[in-house]
Amino acid sequence: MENRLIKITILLPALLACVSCDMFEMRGFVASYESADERFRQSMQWNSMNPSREIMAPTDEYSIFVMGDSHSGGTENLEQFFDIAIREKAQAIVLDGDITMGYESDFDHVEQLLPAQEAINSFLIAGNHDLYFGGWKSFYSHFGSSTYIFTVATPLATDLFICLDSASGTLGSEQTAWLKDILQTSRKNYRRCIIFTHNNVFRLRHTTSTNPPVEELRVWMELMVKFNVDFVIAGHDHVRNEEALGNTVFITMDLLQDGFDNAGYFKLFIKNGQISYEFAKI
Amino acid sequence: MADFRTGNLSVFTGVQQDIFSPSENFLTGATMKIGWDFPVEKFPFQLESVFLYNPFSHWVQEFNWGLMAKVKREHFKFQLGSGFRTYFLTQKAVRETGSHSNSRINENWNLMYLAQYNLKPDKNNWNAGITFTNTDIFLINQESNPMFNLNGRFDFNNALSIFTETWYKPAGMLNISVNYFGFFVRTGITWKIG
Repeated sequence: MENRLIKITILLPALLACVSCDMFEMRGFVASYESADERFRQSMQWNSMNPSREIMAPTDEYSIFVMGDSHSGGTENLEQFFDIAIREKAQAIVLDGDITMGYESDFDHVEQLLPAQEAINSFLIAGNHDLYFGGWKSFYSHFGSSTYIFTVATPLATDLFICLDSASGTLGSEQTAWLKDILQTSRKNYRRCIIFTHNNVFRLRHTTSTNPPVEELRVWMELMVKFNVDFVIAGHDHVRNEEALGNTVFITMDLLQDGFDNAGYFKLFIKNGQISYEFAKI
Repeated sequence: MADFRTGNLSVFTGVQQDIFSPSENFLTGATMKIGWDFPVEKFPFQLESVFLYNPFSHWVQEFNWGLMAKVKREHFKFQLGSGFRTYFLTQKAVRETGSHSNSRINENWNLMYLAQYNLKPDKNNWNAGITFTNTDIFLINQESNPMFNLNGRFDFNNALSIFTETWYKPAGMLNISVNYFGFFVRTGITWKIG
């Protein structure tokens, strides 16, 4: 009996690992290439040389289109997303993590496809898949920071958008402190505040996709409620969900990956300070 | 923390108070576990109901309840169960945000688990072991966020023991590359009265 229990104890985690390893790098089960704090420091270094972008919207009505989990590889849906966003004159697009599978060639391909800034502003955030196979180095060299802010100024007000790197399943202590500081010092200066990050906040269904630990979520929730963050928009779980706590709406988007029936993206509209949204199918 | 036993029933209670922490509150955890021992053939099973309240903030708080089945062998301990978590706004948060309709979020049917291996049988006057779990006294993590600990115990006599645990908490598991999240050491004494 004891021997059987030993075997089960060893085999069960191994089985769990194998069940969920179809697109993974096994090294990740033990350690990341870079810690969340190391990536944050590099992002801040990049930010110090590249000031945050300020988008000017001609009227108090604009939209931002957001996608996550294209896992390129295939880029058919991603290209459609770019085309639609440009055609519908979105002010910006946000690529909310898991843009690639972590291979250098994926980053090259996405960079080639990414619309020029004259056509549309694009903002990219790393997801867990982007870190595989040493992918952070490629992400950083192709797209730069994964933790930053941008603003959209209309004739009436300015809205704040915060992009966070949760690709390791945690913001890390330094990025959390940075987020606290931004919200404490700057939130009051902006009309709306919207956060983009890859990892979905709540665990609302049973999947192998991992959330930030509960102790970190407690910090998140307090900040979101206390500083009246309007939206937290995430991907990672591949299936859409919307929950609200206080005045904060937590969105999980469908994935955009080619070949999935539910493939889609997210449209965020701001008109006269009011926010509305739509899950769009590709 | 206090653990009361009579016959097949046991009741465990505890409170957690943070002297130095990022939390706004002094009291950050309160728990109660009610267990019922019953043997099935040679297996000493225990069913345990768990209630855990975490008032970690003036704005948002957390309540968990769940049911665990436990089985203990000479060298092994296993626990498996399911829990229900609710994050809810405090009255202060409802008042200040004016949000009456979105005051809570539920995470239902969270898997709770523990697997522990000990070097010595439970009755030995010292022991050391390793544990893989997503639950602690004042924390129930999501099923996809396991924690690990190395633990040791020494009994001075039948009533008095000293114990120590070193915990490692990673963030990221399965589809997320593992990132260090936290490490802590817990030590204390247990004193059996009566």
